[in-house]
Amino acid sequence: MLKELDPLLHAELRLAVMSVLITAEEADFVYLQEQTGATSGNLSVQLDKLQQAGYIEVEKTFRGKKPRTVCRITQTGTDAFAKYVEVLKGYLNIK
Amino acid sequence: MNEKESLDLITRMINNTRKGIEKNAALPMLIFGYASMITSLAVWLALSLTGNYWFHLLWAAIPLLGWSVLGLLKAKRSRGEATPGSYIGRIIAKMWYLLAGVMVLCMIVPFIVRGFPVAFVMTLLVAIGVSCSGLFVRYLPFIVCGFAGILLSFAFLWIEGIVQSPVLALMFLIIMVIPGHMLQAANNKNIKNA
Repeated sequence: MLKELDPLLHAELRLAVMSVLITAEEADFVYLQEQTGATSGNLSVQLDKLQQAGYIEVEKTFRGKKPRTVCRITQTGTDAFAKYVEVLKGYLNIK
Repeated sequence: MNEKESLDLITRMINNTRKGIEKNAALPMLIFGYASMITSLAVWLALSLTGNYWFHLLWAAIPLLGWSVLGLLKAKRSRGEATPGSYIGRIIAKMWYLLAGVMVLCMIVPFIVRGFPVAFVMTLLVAIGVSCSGLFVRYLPFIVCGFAGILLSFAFLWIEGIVQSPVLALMFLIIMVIPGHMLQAANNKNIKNA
């Protein structure tokens, strides 16, 4: 029997964010917004959910005088993403 | 969102992020490539015209020119564009810092030890840096040009005298400038197609 896909990752915006962060060491809010095409409000909410689950860490810093929000994937997030991809492969019969 | 769409989304986002990281790799290669070429030709001209050995100090222009132009362009770029950081990018940057340090040391040694094969060691170090960068980002032209540079660098064990400088300029063209422009062209093509 096939396992259930992680509901936290099986949402378009959250999965897009995790896919970016699995490739890059870190990405700032503006980059994530550019890549996903999401609105600031929606992205903030989804980042908050991922952070609460321990999948990402969010750091608020400054670049010059401008505030900058930097997101990084955690080990828990990396493991969850790997597991999600494995289950996904099962659904699609990919070995 | 079904399973197929999920996989497509993952693939698309990973590819876009990789392209963003690759885009940052062309700039240092081009800046340092041109800085090295210009410096090599300047040293050749200065030595040909004056014969003064102290003009070898001009080699220091490579790191000075390279780092200052790169710093300025990166500062300008970071004001207008968000870029992702990456483990690979950080490893490559640290490797180049190390190689640049060794190269600066190699520029000083000929003033103490006459006959030190500086052109051979410098070309070898740059070629190793380019091929390693290629292997890290899996970019074939960097790997091919880097390995070609490693092989060609041994020619400096036979080429002697003032003629070394223009040959060095040619080497930097092959090792850094050509693959740098190839990556830049590939990035521009990707941007157009996006």
